[in-house]
Amino acid sequence: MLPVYICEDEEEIRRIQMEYLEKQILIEGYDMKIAVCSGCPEKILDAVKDASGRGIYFLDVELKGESMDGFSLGQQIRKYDPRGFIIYVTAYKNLAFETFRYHLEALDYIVKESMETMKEGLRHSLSVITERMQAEQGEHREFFSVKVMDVVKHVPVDEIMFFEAAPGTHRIALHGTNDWFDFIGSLRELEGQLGSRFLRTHRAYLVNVEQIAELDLKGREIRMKNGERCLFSKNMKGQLLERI
Amino acid sequence: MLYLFGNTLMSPALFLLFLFFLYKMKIGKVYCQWMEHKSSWGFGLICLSTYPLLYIGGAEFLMGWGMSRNGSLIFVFLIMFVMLALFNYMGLEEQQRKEFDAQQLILKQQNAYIHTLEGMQEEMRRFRHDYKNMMSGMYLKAKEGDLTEALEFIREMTEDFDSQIGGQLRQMSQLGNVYMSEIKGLLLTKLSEMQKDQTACELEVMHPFYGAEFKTTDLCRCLGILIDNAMDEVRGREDARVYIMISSQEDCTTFRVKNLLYHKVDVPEIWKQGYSTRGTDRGTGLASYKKTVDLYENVLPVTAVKDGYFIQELKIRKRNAE
Repeated sequence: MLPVYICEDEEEIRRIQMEYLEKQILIEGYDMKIAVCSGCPEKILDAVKDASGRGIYFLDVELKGESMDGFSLGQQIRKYDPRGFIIYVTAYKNLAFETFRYHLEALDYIVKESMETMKEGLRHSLSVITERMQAEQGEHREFFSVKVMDVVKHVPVDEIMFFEAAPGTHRIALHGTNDWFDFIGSLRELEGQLGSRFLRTHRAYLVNVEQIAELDLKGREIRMKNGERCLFSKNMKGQLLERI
Repeated sequence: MLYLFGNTLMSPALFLLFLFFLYKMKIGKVYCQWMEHKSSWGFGLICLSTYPLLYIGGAEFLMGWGMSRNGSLIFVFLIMFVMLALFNYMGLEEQQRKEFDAQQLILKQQNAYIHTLEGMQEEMRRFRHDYKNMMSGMYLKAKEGDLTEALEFIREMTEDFDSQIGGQLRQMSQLGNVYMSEIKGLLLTKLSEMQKDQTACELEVMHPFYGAEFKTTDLCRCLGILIDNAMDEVRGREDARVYIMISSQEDCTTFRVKNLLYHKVDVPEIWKQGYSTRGTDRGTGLASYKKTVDLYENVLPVTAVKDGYFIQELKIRKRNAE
């Protein structure tokens, strides 16, 4: 059962949110229950610390008179529940939602313009979460997760073409189908982490064997399925031919 | 004794004097400028590396003309010194010109800023007029007891405000969080270009941004390339929109530019010289962006295609962060 947390400083709105969510959970038969409904962010955090697993969070952005705002609360919640669903509720249309989504992977935001729009937002969020959970159940995709400064990137392993090490630094470049980024790490560690699907074809390259399109034996070049190219060393030729 | 005195005290003293002289002439700055201009830097490098050859060669040449060894050496030294002074003069002049250009740019940007603020004031004045009319209309409706009409009036008024000045006000308040004048200027220029192109810009600067540990000219160049690329891709499209986010966090600052993709990204081509998402030979391309970013150890580039959007991020770590 997914616990639902509500953090809203205005008592009247908090009451309306709780009543409406309870009603929706009952009508739709969702496997959820209201765990904490409070205007105090610390109370929410205490409950999250004690709970295990993911939860649903409806957080007010502007928490007047409290020790933290919705953004900081979201950051704290993420420490304990990295996969939970965070939805922001705000009085202002001009919420910096890109920033919220980028740092906290916030699912959505609801504007408290009128009671109708707020209720519609709450209802929509619950149905999106249920859809997401169902989709996740059917998916058994393996992800490669890596920290890039202050965020963690998740890339499906079957979308990674190869890793390239920059000479003289600890910088590794990931080349994928939809992602290209640099991070700090070492090819040796990645080799151990990713297992046999990846082959160290060259001092500077760790290649996803399943994504190889063709080999240029003369130029000692590998062409990947996305069209990118990387190199292989002379003594890896035999192993490469064996694997593809 | 005199020899010893000359060797132990005079030489270091002369050397220090020479260093002080170089420092006073701001030679370091001038040399840095050479580095920025590839061709002149190359020329300067050649001059520096062939200096001993030129020195001895010149002296030999003069000795061939019958000049004494010491005299020729001093003469060549003087020529070299004059050349150095000339170089320095040219460098300083260039520096002054650059400073002047930068000042002009800031002035231009400030003018643009004032222009935008004046525009907003004008809109506000117009809205005030409409607002009065609307209020009296609403007053009448409420007096008649027609609550639905009155509610409709309120809704319309909020929407009007949002569409008339809300957008600009929002943009300006976000821009107000950028405290680095060069970046503020760049954003202002791009915002006005986008306005001309009828491209909407969603700018987000949630926390104040004071600066990053990245050379200012490089940061402006990189961010400029990313925004230009996004603008190129959406120009002329229906509901053209560019998203720009600057997020200053405790350990690092993230610049993020996002736009809808209308073309398939040609991955192997993307990092080649002169390529942008719109096609080859457009703009400065991502290759020079990548080249600049790779020079910094505390900067990481991120590119992604997600849900039909092309996303570019530039992440700059603060040096004191782990």
